Amino acid sequence: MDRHRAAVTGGARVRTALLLLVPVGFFGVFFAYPIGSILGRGLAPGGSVDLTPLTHVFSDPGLRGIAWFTLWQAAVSTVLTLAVALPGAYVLARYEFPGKRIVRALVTVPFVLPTVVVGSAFLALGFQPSLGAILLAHVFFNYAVVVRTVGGLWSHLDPHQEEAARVLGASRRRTWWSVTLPALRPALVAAATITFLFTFTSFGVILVLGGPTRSTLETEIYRQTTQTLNLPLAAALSIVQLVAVVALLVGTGRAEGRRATALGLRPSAEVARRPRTARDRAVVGANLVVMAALLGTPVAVLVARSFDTPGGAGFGFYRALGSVRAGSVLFVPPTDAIRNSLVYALVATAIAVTVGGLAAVAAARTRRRVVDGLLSLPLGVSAVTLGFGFLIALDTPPLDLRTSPWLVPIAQALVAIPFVVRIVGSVLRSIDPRLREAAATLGAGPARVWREVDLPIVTRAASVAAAFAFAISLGEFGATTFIARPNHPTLPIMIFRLLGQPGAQNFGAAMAASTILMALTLVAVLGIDRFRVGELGTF
Amino acid sequence: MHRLARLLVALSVAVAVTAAVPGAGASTRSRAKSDVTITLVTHDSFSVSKHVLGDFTRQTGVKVKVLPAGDAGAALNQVILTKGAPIGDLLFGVDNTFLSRALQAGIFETYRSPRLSAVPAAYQLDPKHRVTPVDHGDVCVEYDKQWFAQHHVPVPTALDDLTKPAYQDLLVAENPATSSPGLAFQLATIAHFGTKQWRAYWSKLRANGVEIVNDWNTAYESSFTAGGGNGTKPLVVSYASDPAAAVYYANPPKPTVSPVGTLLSSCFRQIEFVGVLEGTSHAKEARRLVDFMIEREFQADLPLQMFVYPVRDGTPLPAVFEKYAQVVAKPLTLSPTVIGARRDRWIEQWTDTVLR
Amino acid sequence: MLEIEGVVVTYAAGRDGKAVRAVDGVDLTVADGEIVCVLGPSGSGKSTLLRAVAGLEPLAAGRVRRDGVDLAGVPTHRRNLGLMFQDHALFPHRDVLGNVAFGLRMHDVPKPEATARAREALARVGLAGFEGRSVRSLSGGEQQRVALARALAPEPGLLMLDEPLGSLDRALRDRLVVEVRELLVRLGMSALFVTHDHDEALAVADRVAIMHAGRIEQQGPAIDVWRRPATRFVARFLGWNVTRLAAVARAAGGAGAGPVAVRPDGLVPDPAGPLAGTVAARTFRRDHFLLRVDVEGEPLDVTVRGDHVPAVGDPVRLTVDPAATVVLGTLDAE
Repeated sequence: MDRHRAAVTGGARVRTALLLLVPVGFFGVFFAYPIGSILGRGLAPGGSVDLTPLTHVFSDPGLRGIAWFTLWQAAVSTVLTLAVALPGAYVLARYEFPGKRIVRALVTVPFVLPTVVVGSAFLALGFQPSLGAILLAHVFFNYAVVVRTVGGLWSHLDPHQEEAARVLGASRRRTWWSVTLPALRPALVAAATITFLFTFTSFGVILVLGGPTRSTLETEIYRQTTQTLNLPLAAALSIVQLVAVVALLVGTGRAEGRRATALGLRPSAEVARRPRTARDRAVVGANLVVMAALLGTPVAVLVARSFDTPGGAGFGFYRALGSVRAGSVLFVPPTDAIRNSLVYALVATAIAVTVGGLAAVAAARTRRRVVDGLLSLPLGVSAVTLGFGFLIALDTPPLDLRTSPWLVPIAQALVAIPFVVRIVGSVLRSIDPRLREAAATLGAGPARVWREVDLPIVTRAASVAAAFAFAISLGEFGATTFIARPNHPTLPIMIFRLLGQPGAQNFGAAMAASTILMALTLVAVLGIDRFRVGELGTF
Repeated sequence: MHRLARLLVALSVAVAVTAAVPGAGASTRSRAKSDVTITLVTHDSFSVSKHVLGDFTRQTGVKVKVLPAGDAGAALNQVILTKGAPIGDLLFGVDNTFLSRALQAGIFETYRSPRLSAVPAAYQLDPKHRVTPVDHGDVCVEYDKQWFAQHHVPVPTALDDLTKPAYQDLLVAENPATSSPGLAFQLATIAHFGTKQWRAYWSKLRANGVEIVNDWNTAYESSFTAGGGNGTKPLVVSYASDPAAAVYYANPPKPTVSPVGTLLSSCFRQIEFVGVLEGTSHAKEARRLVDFMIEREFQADLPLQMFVYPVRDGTPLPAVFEKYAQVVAKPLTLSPTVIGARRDRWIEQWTDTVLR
Repeated sequence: MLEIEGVVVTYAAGRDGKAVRAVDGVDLTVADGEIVCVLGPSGSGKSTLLRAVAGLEPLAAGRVRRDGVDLAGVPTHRRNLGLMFQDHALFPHRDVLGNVAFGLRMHDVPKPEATARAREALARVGLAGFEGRSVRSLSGGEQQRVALARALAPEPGLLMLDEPLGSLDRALRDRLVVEVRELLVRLGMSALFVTHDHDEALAVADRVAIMHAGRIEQQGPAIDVWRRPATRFVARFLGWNVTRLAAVARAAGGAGAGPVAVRPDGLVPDPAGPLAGTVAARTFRRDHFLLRVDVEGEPLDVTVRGDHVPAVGDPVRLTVDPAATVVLGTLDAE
């Protein structure tokens, strides 16, 4: 029986409020304020509020169609991703086989790739812009979400529960529905939510693989903001998008339910076992094939093309990275772009871990779901809106950051923070309260208990979260494209620019840079897996 | 301390050290008379040789910081949004298709550069000189010579040809709503066929299997047969400088004739402008940069950097242009005011005709 | 010296939200150097009592005094009590030495001294050499001993143990029981420990208190409690038969109609005995058999040694040894 102790003392409340100060402040200045500014500019252009664009969104059949398409393609993408990735998550959670660690890391690489690059890869594979291509690309990106979230929990579920059900007469299917699925529910909901959020606000994939006939709220916002400069309409669409995201977060916050500590959990090393029967081997083999085909092929295409120089396979394009358009004032040697990416990612990670860590600690003591949901909002807001919001909001000193390089890591941190909060938060919640009691009986006062018990565990969670935030920041390509920035491009931006130039050399160089980006990400992801905290981190 | 944490710390120290070095190098550049840095807001495709800008600094003592801000439309809109507290001192990259919006927004200061005497009047689209022309490029239908030779199909010579059965399923064009060359091509058809007939033309194009994509990159790299790889369309809406670019960026050995040709009667003229932003505190220095941008050195640098043509009379073109690019004698044009007034409506109509 | 007076601990549970009294007015004293055991079934409130003494549960009523000082208002970390948890609660992020030295660090003992004392504590529980091991790599018995060493290292005046040997197998438990008592006696340490295993309680404790439904039904020196259970619950809990059979009552010397308790080894098979019954079940118990005999409808546990043990279904007559009977008090409402 787990009795909940509310922080009733005034001192604890003050402490919680202080902890929340930094995250709320960060969120307020760098998210709420810019978003509010641009939405305000759109909906109250002359000073008075004009809501006709909002009604226009619902009355115009074209716009309604766009909103509807956005919704159902995200829903279908989510269901499809779950369907394809759950078996993969199962295999990686329950089976032990040589090379498992590498496979797990490789599965995560697509998640952090810039959509631009992936779009090109899919086209290179012969896909035509179509709904099928969009859905497939979405599954490609979000496979890792399911594997890490659901698989993470799955690898700790006590198999005895399922075995007990089987012995009592439940068929495999029955066991799945009545025992396994309910146990996995918190992780399933989390995975579905994240996948839906990403596919709902998907931009690059829709643009490249959707073709001109398919438009989502996100691409429409982009068009209206950057091309037509119809800010009122863009603002109205942003609001529709925001409301949908908030509704989703509220709904799934309730569904996510109680946390993992209520279940019987075992260390993952005990749960995973080598495939023994032919059926086992078939399951593992089939899923590895799916992973190789779905995730590996586009990646392999990119890598292959980067080496496919006219003089035979070689490093020609990699060398070209350092020389093509070398005289231009906007040229950055690839080492600079790599360095910029790393620096930005490090700064973004530091920000994300600090803000997210504080938020997670505070959220553990207070209304967790509200804090969680609030900080997840940046995942669901249009990157264009955010970028332009920065532009009009952050224009007075001391906050004149409009052209400051600081905006890049801030934007990246906004995307990484929800993940930090989830990781650190879930570990915090799974700390055995007996440990704190033991420390108290041994003479540790409340502050010392926190330092001796919670903090070391939180720090380890934070280092896993940091590695993840780092990987996300490396590949971030949403808001950073819409922020006017001095010439310190990151790798994804450099790739984007190369793709915008004609000629085989530029294209080959873009492929080479993409391969470098993937290699960097792979290293970061392998780092994450090395330092899994204790036993109970989701994601 | 955790191994990963230690690794990250070591990495950041290493990065900080290397970051310091180039910075140190830059700061020891010699300072001439004044210490001013002006900011040039541009689009992502902007390019100029380092030494050319360096020459500007050497001549005037003014440093130039380039601020790429997205594509041309995005950059312009960002500047419009920040009017009154501009993010830079000049904006380069407004072209004739968006000129009226820029002028209406009142983001520029008037400046008539004395160097304009060397620039033909045809390029000076703003009589009030709020913007100064810098370069022009033409958006045309480009074709893959090898493909047409191999398939024994004659190369098209007129816009009307593209609707003929012989050219069925051979053309890829960009969506004018999302792509600048796409918009330019649409405007070309409007200029050629007139405001009453252009929609019929597009209906026929659609019936003839034109492929529409969202951006130039997809069209050129993925769909064009002479582009990045596995394309199937030998006709693409692209730039008149493509023949030169294709050779310049080709992997050695360089061909004697460009693999890409231009359908000269399909070209729409795009002119790019620079303007001093209203509210800048460095108007004097900004104007000197405007002057510089239409002087010989900068103009001669343009072709190989951005694959556009200089506006200044008598500027020598690089060899690869002379040898491989075709001269567009009679491009199609439309008045920027007309474009500004009807562009959105035209795009709507285009979408209706072609996509729905 | 620990004095527990009239302690009541409640928590709101049950569907009607009514407060449940986990501890319902307990009086107990632990003298210096004394080992007291609170013995009772699961749910009797014994763990809650321990936690209340440690300050981990608030008191609804009553007092806890340590050497005369009322501990109300003294937070857990200042009570200077050792507590050994049922599930060890070893810190996973520290090695064995880190765990054992923890309490010493909390009391600002300088590091070299703390390390030395921690090593001593480990040696005392027989785990010398285990200092650098990770707690996850230890067996159940080893974890138990680390937890014990951790609780002992700061040399608290009173050590409290919550089912300390619960998760161990029988053989290990039997061995450790003896070791723990020897250790406590050698250190002269007062201890209050809680268990449901009466063999354990009787082996380790000086005094035993039987707890049932939040109350202490009987307390006293272990042998006394064992020899003379005072209530029906205590008798049954200790394995005695409780019956109103006339023959047994007579042997006990009880005149009234009240219940009488008789030990299983106090019922002896005797062809001339006054009790007549049938063997309903037979269990082998190493050096004796435990028979369940139906006498006039009442099941009685009977211990039988030797070679001629009746089989299931056999009729048997029993005689009662008066020395193994006790007249029970009427104070319990069972």
